[in-house]
Amino acid sequence: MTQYIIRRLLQFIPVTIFATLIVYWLVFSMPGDPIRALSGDRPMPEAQVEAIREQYNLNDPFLVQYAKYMWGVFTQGDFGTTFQGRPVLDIIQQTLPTTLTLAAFAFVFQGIIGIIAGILSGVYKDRFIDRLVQVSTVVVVALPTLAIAFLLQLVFGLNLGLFPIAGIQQGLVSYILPAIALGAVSTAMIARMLRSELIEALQSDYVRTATAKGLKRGRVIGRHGLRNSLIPVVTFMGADLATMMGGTIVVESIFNIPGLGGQIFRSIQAQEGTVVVGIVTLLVLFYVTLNLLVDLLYAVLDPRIRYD
Amino acid sequence: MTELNKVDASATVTNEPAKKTEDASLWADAWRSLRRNPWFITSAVLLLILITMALFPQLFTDQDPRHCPLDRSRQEPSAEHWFGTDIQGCDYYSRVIYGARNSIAIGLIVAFSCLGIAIVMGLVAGYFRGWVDAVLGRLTDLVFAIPYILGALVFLNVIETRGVREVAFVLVIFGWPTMTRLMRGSVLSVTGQEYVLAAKALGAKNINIMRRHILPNALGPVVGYTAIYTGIVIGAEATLTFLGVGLQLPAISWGIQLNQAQGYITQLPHLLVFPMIFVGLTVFSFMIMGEALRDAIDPKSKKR
Amino acid sequence: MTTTPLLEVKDLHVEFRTKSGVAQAINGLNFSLNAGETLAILGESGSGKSVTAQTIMGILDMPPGHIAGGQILYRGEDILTMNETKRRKLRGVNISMIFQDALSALNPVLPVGWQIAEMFRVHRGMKRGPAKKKAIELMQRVGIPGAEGRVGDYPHQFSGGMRQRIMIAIAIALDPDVLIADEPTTALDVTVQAQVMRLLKELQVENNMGLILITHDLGVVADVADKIAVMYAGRVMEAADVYEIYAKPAHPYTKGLLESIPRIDAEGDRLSAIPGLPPSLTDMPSGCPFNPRCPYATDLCVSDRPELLPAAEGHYSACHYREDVYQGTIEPRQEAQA
Repeated sequence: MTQYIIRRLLQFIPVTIFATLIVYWLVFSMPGDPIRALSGDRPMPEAQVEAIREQYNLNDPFLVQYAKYMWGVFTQGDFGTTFQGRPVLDIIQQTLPTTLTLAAFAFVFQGIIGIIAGILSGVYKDRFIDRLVQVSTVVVVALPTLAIAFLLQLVFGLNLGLFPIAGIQQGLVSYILPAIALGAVSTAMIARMLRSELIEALQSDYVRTATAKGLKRGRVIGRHGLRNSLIPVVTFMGADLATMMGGTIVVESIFNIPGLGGQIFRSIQAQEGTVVVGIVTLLVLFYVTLNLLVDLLYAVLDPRIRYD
Repeated sequence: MTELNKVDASATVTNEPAKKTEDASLWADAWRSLRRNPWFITSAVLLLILITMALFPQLFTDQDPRHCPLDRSRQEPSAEHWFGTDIQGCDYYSRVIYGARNSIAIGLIVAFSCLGIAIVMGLVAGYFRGWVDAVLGRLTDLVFAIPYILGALVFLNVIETRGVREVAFVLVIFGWPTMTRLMRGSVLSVTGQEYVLAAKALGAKNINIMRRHILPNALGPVVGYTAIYTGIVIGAEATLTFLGVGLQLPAISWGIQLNQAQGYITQLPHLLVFPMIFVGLTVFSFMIMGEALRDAIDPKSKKR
Repeated sequence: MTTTPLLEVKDLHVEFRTKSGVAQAINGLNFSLNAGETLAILGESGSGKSVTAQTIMGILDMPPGHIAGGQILYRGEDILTMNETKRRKLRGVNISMIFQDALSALNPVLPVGWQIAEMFRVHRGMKRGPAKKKAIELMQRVGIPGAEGRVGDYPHQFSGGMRQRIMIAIAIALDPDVLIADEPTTALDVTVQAQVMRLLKELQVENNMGLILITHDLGVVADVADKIAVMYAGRVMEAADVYEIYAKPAHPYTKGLLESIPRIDAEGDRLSAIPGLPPSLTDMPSGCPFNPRCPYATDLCVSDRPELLPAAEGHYSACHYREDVYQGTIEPRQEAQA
């Protein structure tokens, strides 16, 4: 097991390096000189420009710059500073909780709604509720998050006025619409996946055994059918958390939420290279760790899987 | 050697007719199940309309989307301007209609470019395995590690003038591994089949085995996904353009319309509603079409 | 006999309603089982023997399955008309079942001990700890070595024979009166087959259970069964004591089956297989369902369906010529031989 974890971690080292390297290169190859842009209309004295260049290692060859940066990240948790002198870590610390709240809401939403819909659909196969779930999941999966987000904003925010249209001034209730938008597609995918898994499980021999043991229908479904059907769903949800981070960029900018996604978007536009690289590095690490955890979780949930 | 070649030739000759009928019945089966699938009918009709819209927008409106007199700006929908007018006073209906072209063009270009790459790379990786497969595996890991939108965002931001070509290019870069991985898996499963082993044992050339035996049988799952992927790309393009890193003015695009309308959501919601509906419908149609195709060609895939 | 049998099946009809038509899986099945008795239900695949087991257990998939008529009496009470709660309380407690493939019949993601203990926890309301202790006892009783150390193991960690023993442990956990074993040894190695059959027999004697042994294997039946019912196309073709059937089959189908097993004692004779295939359940032949394959078939067999009637004392056969077959005084018809 430990060996497996180590192997997996080693496997992810090149991925992490390359992903961050590419992003680093793209960001710092941006057209225009960020220092000149920083100084605005009034030209900065040459000495000062040189000092800043030195501070950000801009005079080093590209690969050295990158290496210095990553060294800082991994040895001191130093994600660099913006050209205004604000530590990137500071920005991350300020925006991350908002995004995590949003992601947590979405995660809970898709878990609850997706699983309930999947169970109803699978247990009452071919009945009305199943048809309803099937039709709605087909539609939701086929819609882009962008359209879903606007639709929710227009209908429930603007038209019905049930939720705030944008911003997070009204506290947790402000997160509901964005979270639904963020989690909608995954909710539908969970429902579908669970439905087919459950239908398959309910026809399996071991569920027949459970019935033959004289268990109540609820226990047959819950303890025997569902226990097995949930394994792929749980691993999907885990892996999906990483994907969700990409979705926050859109959702946060539509609902004007001051989170990590919105931040990275603003930083890209403002050519704040260090912030972009910092956040991307964080996201890549998040992805790598999450995937490893999902694999380990899979082994815990399904005793037939052994990593050695 | 000549002996072997003869054997090979006769083997392929006798194989051919059998193969043809099998293929024919596969596609005939697929067509039969498609015809009865209401989702397929719906999406086919919608796509027909949307693609006509992209090719011949003039059929749908006689207004010029670029005629924008400021004195008629910010009008609500009316008989004259079905979708109202935008901030600049352009007829919004014609702008939304003309927006179909860029979206669908990018969707199709990207999806088919990815399909082309996937076929070649997937065949090579799945058939020969070896280092190509290993490199492909790592590359896919790499692309998955960076969220699609984020990668495209960073990349596109570097490009100063972005037209259909630039946006499509970036989307292909981040898109091809997914489809290639699918194709590779499909090739891998076909390569293990006995008729492929038989052809190999008879000394058929690799290129012929790939062309005659593997490609036709491995393509099924990828075809459906190409349509699904077109939908995904259109959604991604609209999203990126909405975020301001996709197409740029003066291009007519749903993403730009959404971007500009966002600030007026409370005053002029119709500016948001119409492009939203069209983006939604277009993505929806392609994805539904793709799912219907996938289910028809490979009924087992219905699971997921 | 005046005492009510433990389990009695009367004129049972089960069909499968599918898109391509109605398949008659069981057409008027009759048999009875007493305590301590072993009834073997013998038949080819598709003869309806597994459907019979599933119908008694109440685990038939409905739809497409449909019970079209008949009764299943447990201690004189029809279980087909019972309400679901009452019926459920019989399952696993009074009537229980062993499946053919223990690997798929056991839940792959739950420890075997848990799966055995579940019987005590659900039906006896026992707590986790005592139930687990019971599970270990049972595992020892069915002959699993090192039971204490293996309660937490999962099904895939056991060998085929051991898995089937766990299946048996679950089935006998609550000392049922009736145990249905559906091809319990088919998936096992020959050497293990004998061990598992011996275990079943021992347990039956200990608990005075009625055992229904469903199998297609005549070899398994001979050692274990008291009575045999031979099924074909959803009907009992012949029913009698085990020695009777082996010595003097009264139905051409049984005769054919017996002739198709290799014997050490019979020299010279070539093994004969029954020609043809079992009939399609959606398209039964008229008259006797076996007539297309029967070497003795006459016009009567095509026009009239024979009833299950005695050929001798306690020996029933559904053949128009049961006495002649029983006495061995019948010759195959010319056409059939050609």
